Amino acid sequence: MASVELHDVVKRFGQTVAVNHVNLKIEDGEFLILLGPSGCGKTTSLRSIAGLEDVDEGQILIDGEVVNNKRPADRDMAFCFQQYALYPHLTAFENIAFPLRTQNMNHNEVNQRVREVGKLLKIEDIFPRKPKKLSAGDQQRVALARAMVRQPKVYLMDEPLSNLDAQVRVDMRAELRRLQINNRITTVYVTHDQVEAMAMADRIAIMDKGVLQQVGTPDDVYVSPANLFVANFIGSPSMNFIPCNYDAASHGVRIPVNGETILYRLPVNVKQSISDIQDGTELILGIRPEDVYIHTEPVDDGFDCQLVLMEALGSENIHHLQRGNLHFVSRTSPADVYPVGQSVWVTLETEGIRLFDRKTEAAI
Amino acid sequence: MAEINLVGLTKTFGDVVALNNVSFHVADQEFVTMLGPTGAGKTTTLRCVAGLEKLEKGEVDVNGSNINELPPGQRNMAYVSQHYALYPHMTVYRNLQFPLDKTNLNAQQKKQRIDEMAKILHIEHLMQRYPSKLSGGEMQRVVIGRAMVRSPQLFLLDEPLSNLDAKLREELRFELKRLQKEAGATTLFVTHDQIEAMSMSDKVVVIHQGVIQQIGTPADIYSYPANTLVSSIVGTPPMNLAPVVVEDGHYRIESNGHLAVLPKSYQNVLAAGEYLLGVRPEDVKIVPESTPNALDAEAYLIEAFGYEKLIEINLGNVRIRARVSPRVQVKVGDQIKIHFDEHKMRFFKTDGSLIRA
Repeated sequence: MASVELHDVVKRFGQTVAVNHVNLKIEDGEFLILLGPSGCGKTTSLRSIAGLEDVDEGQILIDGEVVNNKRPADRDMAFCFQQYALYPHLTAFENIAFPLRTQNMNHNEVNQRVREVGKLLKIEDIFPRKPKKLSAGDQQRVALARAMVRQPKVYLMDEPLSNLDAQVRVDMRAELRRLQINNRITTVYVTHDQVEAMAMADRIAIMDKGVLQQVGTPDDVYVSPANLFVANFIGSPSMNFIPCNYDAASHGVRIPVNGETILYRLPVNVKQSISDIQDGTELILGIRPEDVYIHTEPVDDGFDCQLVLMEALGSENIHHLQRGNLHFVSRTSPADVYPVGQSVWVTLETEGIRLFDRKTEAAI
Repeated sequence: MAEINLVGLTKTFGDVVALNNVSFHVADQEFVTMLGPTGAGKTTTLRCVAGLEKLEKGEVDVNGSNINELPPGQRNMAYVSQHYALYPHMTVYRNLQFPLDKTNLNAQQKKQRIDEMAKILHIEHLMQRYPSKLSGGEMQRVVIGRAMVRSPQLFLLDEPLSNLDAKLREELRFELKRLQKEAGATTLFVTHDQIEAMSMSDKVVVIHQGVIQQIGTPADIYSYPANTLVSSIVGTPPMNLAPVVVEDGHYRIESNGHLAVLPKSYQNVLAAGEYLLGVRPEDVKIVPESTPNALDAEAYLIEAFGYEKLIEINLGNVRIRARVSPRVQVKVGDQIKIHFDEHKMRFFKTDGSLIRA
């Protein structure tokens, strides 16, 4: 059991700042996911916690103790990295048992622990095989089992499900998360997949270009993204972004569309929170697809546009709407079907409207 | 104007039967997607249509004529593969112009075609750039443009979006579909991604190990998967499956002993015996304690995605999932009651094939 802290951590590779003054505390027993696109610094942060990278500035603390100078092996963490280096001469079983054997654990207990984790990850039938006889997905599961067979202070995992096919990944993420809920071992997990992050994490730390953008529960980052980057990265389809200008006279926004202007009145609660903004301020109105409502008749506070395409995904319908240069999407239940190619009217869910400053890209 | 008819395509590589009697039809202006896992035979089919693979048996017909013996260059098809390459020493404009060099178009016609293509693909501002200065998505649009600029009669697209990141894929999925509709281009598209197949296609051909499993509209294969293989490939998470025993107009779920009346539509269809019950996650409802005929279950895990929640549910030792509104409040370990939407329940034979009610 342990907490992990990063205090103002900086890591450079030549001219590149891979991790830029990151401050983050992972609580004891927490499942924290580092999320971001490739090159955002998430893996480097993880490797710094592991002790596989020396940080240039700042401190790494485990349970309040600075471990910058501790070797990886002395940090009592179990790793599972994307490049799973299995021992080629050992069977899957012996690969998993290896960390236990080095602890001089007795034979029966080793057997029992390996079988337990093997059952959980559904790899018991490949125990006798050597790595080169295993598919990439199975190798990944063996590497994961090897990390999980121990009960360390902290699990560190870097995209441990990336080589599995889609359906297996959905099963495995549930097993992994449920295991962690049971044993409450502090876990830091890296992924670029926002669905995985939303599904598994207690909290998500989103990074871009080495900088921490937001830390919060899945609900926080979905409902109240701190900036445009987070708003765009979380959720699929993405949040709709509509460039607009603040209209002080009407407490609304002016949306320029191919030479015309749509005036959209903002709901009361939004108005109050932005009362100090100057007329004409360049904003972006953000709205999630499920908060865009379609009507087949003109409605108050609605604006008209073309329904250009519908994607029927089975469990939901995605409607693509267009008016001039504006393109946005609406998510509805599969039962809601509208006439494609025709004019429809759109309203926005009051609660769902988010405003961002177009210059700083920060949420207002 | 172009339609393709594939009749009994068969192709083996050594001991492996890559295509086993594959037949389907792509109508004029239709968007047809072949969906299946790696090794299903999707790419091989596409290459046979393009003339890049020689068939052992079967016929490729375009507009009613057999083109088996026609060399690839004369088939007037555009082929975009996963591993796309632009000429690095040429600007975007030059890359788009290149396929027109061998045509009879005059300079002005060529320019007009290229300008049109640039406009459709929103790449007008990139025309003077070199490929190394383009993002992945921009490059992919240029590749598609280069394939389309000749106005071929058929488009063959092999996972053209697979190397892109998730956001870009979403965007290009829409653009590609829009483009296809505007151009009215007959398209055969290959993917392993069921969302691409569902969202873009007029018709989906589900293929597995060289054998066609089902041909239908996206709605069809989603609602009435021909077998449990299709039900597991289409939809994420896949359709829930639970072994049941049917007797006297009732079914019993084997993993927890729950007994319930068969849906009306299946009442006179199912003989006594063992079956698999299939229900999509969104058709599993969490209901109040007092609901009659509800099933006892345990919430194993909750995954919250903002706009929806997935609840992993244990029915005895069978795991199923419910897709519910984010407002539904359930905690890990809760004992809950669930209910299946009677109209959406599907029964499969134990060999996996759908029983139509």
